[in-house]
Amino acid sequence: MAEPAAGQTKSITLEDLRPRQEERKQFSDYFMPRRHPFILFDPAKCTGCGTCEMVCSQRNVARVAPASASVKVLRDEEKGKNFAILCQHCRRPLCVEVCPTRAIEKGEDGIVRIDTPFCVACGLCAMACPEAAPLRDARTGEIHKCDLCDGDPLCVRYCPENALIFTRGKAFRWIKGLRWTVQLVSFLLLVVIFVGTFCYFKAGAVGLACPAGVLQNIASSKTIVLVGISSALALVILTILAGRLFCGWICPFGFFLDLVDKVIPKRFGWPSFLKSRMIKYGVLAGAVCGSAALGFQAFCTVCPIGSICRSYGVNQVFRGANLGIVTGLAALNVGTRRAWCRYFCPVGAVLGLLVNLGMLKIVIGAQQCKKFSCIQCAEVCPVGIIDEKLLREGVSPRIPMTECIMCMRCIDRCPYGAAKIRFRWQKGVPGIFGEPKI
Amino acid sequence: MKDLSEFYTMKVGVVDLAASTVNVVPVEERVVRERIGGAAMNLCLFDQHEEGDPIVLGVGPLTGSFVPASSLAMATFRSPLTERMSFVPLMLRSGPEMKFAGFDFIILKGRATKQVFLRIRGGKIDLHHAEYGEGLEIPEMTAFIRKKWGVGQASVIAGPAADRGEHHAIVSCGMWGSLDKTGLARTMASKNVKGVVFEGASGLRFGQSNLERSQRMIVELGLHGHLKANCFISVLDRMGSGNDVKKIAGKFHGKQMACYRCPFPCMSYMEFYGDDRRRRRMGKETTGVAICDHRGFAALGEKHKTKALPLMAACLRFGIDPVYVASNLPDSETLEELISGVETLALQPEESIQEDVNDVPVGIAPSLYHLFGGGLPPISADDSWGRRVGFSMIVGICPLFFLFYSNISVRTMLSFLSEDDGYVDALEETVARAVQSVLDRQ
Repeated sequence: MAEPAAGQTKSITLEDLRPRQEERKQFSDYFMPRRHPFILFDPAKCTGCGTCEMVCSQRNVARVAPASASVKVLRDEEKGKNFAILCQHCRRPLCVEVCPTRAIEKGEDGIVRIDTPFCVACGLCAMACPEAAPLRDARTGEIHKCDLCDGDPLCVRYCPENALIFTRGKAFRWIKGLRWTVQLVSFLLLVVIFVGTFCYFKAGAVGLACPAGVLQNIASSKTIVLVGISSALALVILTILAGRLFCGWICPFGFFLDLVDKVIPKRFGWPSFLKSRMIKYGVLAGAVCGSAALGFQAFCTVCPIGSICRSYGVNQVFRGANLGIVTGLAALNVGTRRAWCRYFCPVGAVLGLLVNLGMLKIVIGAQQCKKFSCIQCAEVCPVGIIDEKLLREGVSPRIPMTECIMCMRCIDRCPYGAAKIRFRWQKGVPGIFGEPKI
Repeated sequence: MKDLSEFYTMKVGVVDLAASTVNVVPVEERVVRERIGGAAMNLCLFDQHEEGDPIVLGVGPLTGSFVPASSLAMATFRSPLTERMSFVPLMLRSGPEMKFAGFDFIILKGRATKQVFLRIRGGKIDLHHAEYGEGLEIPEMTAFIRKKWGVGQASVIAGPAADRGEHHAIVSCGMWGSLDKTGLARTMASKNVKGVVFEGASGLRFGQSNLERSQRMIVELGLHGHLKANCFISVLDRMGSGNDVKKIAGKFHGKQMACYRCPFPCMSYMEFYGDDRRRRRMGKETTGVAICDHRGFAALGEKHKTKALPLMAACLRFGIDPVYVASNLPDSETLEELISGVETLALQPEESIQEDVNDVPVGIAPSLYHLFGGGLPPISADDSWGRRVGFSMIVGICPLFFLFYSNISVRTMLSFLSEDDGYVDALEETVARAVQSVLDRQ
């Protein structure tokens, strides 16, 4: 407690009585995020019988009184839908922030609880909660909030249709594991084993080439070489089939940026005048035009992907210029995650154009999506294309596939299974304006 | 020995509509011991206030408890169609909300000078003028109530058909319609009662053992997490409905719905398209109808096939009996003509009452069937039908559930009232007498 100034009486503050708990980060959190318990509600199964309200009130006030429960079932008879209002035990609970008496705390077990003796039933928590989950008892005026029955929720146990499922999220994020493995293998193959083969590789009749490089080659040589174009086909076909999978799973520079992300303690933000994603198309146009004017593949000399691919070897390992480019561009991550990929990468721009012919899309906001109280998908997206604001407003955002690098972090992270891959021609999800439900 | 008063709030609300007064009186424990509750208690209260031609709303001791399907409230009145006593089951959350609002029984007697709404909450009954509700369709009325008094309550509303004096008008529990086919809506309208809204904020102590026993029962019946089966179709099947009707129910089925604490979601929310074929092909403009009246749906489905759903929606909108509509709708080709026919039947009623109230299922005496509202699905139409329905109407559990699961015995249900075997024996005898007193009124 701060010492009072001379002549000032010593007063006790709320901070002295109930100091705010700091979130303790554990070493293991760097490898696997801590799992938070919550109850998953499946609206498709809920029949609206209200058993959850009954058993919850029995625990809260030792009587069957649905108005005193910590869960509330809303029934829309006109649309035939039921919806349960439940505490999601958010990772950063707003109710904890706004409680003037600090009666609400998030425990070490991840459960957000009200310490009843300290609660003055002001209702600020209910106003701040995006789910409106703290519920006021219609009889006594007290605030009731789900405490997951200390780890064995009665509503889950007694729900006759299994519409409520108690979960601690995913134990192992297999997409994450698979992606890191593929990225590591790709990095080793492209950087260490087949040095420099990303830019152009030919073995017999088989040729592989970077599509941005091919465009620059055509511009600089002013001749269309069919072999060169066909070499770029592998990446073109992959992109049409699976979107910008290359950027998220294969690109060695992307992998390097993901590694850099892990060690950056704090991001400083990105200047707004550089926030246009159209810049990379400008860079692509500049690279092609520059190549045509200069007569050689101008951008390839500074391309970070090519540079990293050419940097390994007995003679190359200390090629300072190349590594300087790589580290310099990787430093952009201090501003925002995958800054190069978001705003500047011409290879990504070519693939982004091809994605317009693509077959896949990612949809967020199926019926299970909690939207406003979760937004984990928006938090993990490395290219920042999931609109957090829309989610907070309860609207499912549309994912621009030209910008999506198909890393599938959103799918992996979503605890509700609401982020999904769909074919482009499949119908949307409820919540997306103008699209009927699946 | 456990006293039955633990299962009640022990309050009766006596509403004199003519004088706009409400009198709250305690329930006599002696009467509860003799009549148990529900239909038998309603009957007793009806007899006490017979001069006011009352409507008695009541619940049973198990209503609102953990017992499966403990959702029932019932309305007792003299049917304008049969001129006899009738007990109409009120489903969804009406019973529990009424109990939690502080009343076990409510007697509406006399006739209000203006159309009124009754709002019941916190042990009080308020009368609100409802001129604004005159002629409003049921979805509009429900939306209006929710806007005015918030969500979370249960309502029993008489629709525009009842306002116009149609004898086959039905009350609607929320927007779901009801099993009223003996004129409860018409009786309410004759008393100038537009509807009753229950807001249960209180509760009752039922005990953890009550919960555990009920959960065991649900598991033993195979009803825990069994949603794979379509219960609406199961009921149609047990009623002996044709394959066409079941196919329609399967094709348009959207979601299963259940009443309070019911593990057997026998109601269905069905989704259908408008008559615009182009929009239908595009999969747009779906709308839906919530159905709890299996007989009504079956009657419309057999006659009008897939047009049954919009017709059902129209019936629920105007608050008119779908069985009556099915048998009286003129033969027309287009859906518009049919819906306009429903509107004509609902809003331009004939003066005379038809002789037959509606078709009565084979195997059940018409007088017995109409005694219990005339809308219950004829499941297990044998000698036990009347006794099982009578029992469920007395203790406050859904008669449909009790009929469907005929392996549940009366004793099993009574054992939720007490764990003392001797007391349950005595209850069994008392309840048999109470059931008989109800059946004697057919």
